Amino acid sequence: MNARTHKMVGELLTGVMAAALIASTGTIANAEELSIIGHAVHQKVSTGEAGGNFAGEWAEANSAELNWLTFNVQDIHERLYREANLSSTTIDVGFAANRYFNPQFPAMFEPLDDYLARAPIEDFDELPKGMLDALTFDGKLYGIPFRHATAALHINTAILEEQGVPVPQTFEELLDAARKLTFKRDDGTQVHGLLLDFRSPAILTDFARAASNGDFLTPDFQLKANSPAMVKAVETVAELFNEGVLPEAFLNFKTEDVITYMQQGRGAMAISPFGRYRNFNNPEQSQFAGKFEAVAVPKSESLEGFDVAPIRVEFWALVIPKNSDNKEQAWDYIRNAVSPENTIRAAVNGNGPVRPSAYNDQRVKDLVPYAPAEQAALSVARPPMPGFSESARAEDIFIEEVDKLFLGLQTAQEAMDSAQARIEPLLPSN
Amino acid sequence: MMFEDRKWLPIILISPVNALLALLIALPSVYIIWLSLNQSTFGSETTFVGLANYAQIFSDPIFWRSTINTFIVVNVVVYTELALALPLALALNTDFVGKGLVFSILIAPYAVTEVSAVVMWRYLFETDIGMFNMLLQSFAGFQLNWVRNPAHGLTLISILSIWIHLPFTLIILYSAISTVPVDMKNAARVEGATEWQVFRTVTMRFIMPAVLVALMFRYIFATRLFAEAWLLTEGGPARLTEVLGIYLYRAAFRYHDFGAAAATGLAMQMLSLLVASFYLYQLYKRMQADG
Repeated sequence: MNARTHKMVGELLTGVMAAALIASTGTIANAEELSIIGHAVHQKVSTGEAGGNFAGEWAEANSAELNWLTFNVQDIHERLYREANLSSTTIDVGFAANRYFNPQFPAMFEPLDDYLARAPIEDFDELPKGMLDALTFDGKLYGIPFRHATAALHINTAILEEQGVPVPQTFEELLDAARKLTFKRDDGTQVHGLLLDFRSPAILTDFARAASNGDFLTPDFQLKANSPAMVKAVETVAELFNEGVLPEAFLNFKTEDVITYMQQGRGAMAISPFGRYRNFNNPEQSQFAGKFEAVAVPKSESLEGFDVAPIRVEFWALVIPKNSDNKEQAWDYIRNAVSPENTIRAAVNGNGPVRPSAYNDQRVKDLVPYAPAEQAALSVARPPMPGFSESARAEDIFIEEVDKLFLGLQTAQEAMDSAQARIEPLLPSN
Repeated sequence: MMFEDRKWLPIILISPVNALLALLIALPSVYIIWLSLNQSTFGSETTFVGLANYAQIFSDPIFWRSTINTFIVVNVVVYTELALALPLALALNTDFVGKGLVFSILIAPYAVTEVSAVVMWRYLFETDIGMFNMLLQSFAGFQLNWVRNPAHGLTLISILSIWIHLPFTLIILYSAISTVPVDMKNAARVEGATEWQVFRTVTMRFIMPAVLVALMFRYIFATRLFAEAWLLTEGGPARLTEVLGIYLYRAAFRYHDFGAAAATGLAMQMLSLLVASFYLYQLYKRMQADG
């Protein structure tokens, strides 16, 4: 071996050693990194300023680095489920929404009962049983509730005052006020009396719940699409649409459209989760910052047994993919995130707290003006429909039929009869 | 010896490329064909179902509506692009002041991401406050009500797609026209040909292969139309503006029904192949005729 060859071999060995070192360092770095997949709002409420960055504090105390991957709701679940089906994943903690829970959970996520037995969650019994039941498959628990999003009635008080319309106290008054608050300004700007997030069974079921405590799909998978309550609900929404109370763009609405409309004063009221209060009142974006109030959606005069409408509540749970390499650390993160203290801190950051006791905390009372209204709404709210494998397809069928009603292609009864017939075969019992 | 007659040499030399193609195209294609014959979703074992996925999509009226919508939009888009690109490319092959600026403006949409383009056009045609819709209302007495009227929705999807992809056809035709020999055109003029005859018998003859290539590629790309339609209407209202790309997306990413998604993907591929084969045949015929 001559000197030149010797040098080349030496360089090659040095390169290989350097590559090995980089690879091993990378492995160490991965071991310290905890990847969390969720929505930007989950990151915001876990790392916010008002209530403090409890996620960051946990990371510091555990010498871990948090890697947040944030997407929109549908993409979170697509990515989370896809990762959980691989032979291995870099995702350690996932946020999953209740309408995406399905019987395939046991194949994808870690059962948490053993973790709970080894390292319990403080005051675990306070977590709502209904939410835990929705996360239980074959007697095992697969997720821990973290956040609820309960629908509220958001009111632009400036527009109500301007038009001399009082805050509605009943569902009938709400519909009446929505019609009165639909008008055109002198500059040609159209103001719509009521906005809804988008067309979905969940959102239209709100009308059935507020009017007569109706349901679209019960927890035991009884489909009530063509029940009188649901037919009346979609008929009412179609009337509001045809009268221009709901904007024409409602047929193409996305959540950000509701926020924009409300911030620009093009919507007087909106039925949307309580958390939107901060978006509507954001002084950097809203032309009516400080003018919005969030109250519980009022019930119908004829609905007995409730103080406010038994509106929809959606909730998010924390899950651990079965193929994560970092399950113990993931569990420790979850325990910390849902502790009573951090539930309060997240609530101050704008989270919907799943622990009822959080509403009694002075910090929440001081910094979350809508907390009493949210607590009242939450006390009677329930999920709009249970999760099942074909829930997305069922939602699309419902929207398709309702759209045909909005376009005048069929009556409300025909729309809901068709939805009933098409969705029924997709339910788990069939 | 194998290498002595050099018969195997070309095969050996191109084998790395063939291996790469097999790895990147053939293997995934085989996997998709296999997937289309199975029921597959997250958290469940994949099970063989034969042609059930094809039966499912072919019996779905929305699949056929999506196919028709795709067919309409693709034809409108591809031929409008050609109709616009050809005179523009001819004009750009002449000398005029500000040619560089005009050329830059014409190809600029190709540099805009589809998401940004859709957001921009969505607000320009917003039914309440959209600038273009207000102008249309003022001058033409109507609006493009794309949120409510499916025909208007498909029209806006087509306009948007043409706006984004026109530069592709334009650049191909511009390059082809710039290679037409000036001598040939001058010779035709000396023989007494009118400008229309020069264009028809000389320019078009030279650029026809490029036109066919542009048409073929645009057909294939346009059949995969997704972003413009999804970001604009999501196929609504009532799935009346749905195209095959959205149908496939729903099956794969919303319903997690990967077998049906694979079957839809293969149906789209067949549609592309059908169209492409016509243009390939025309190209082949021209090549044969040119010797």
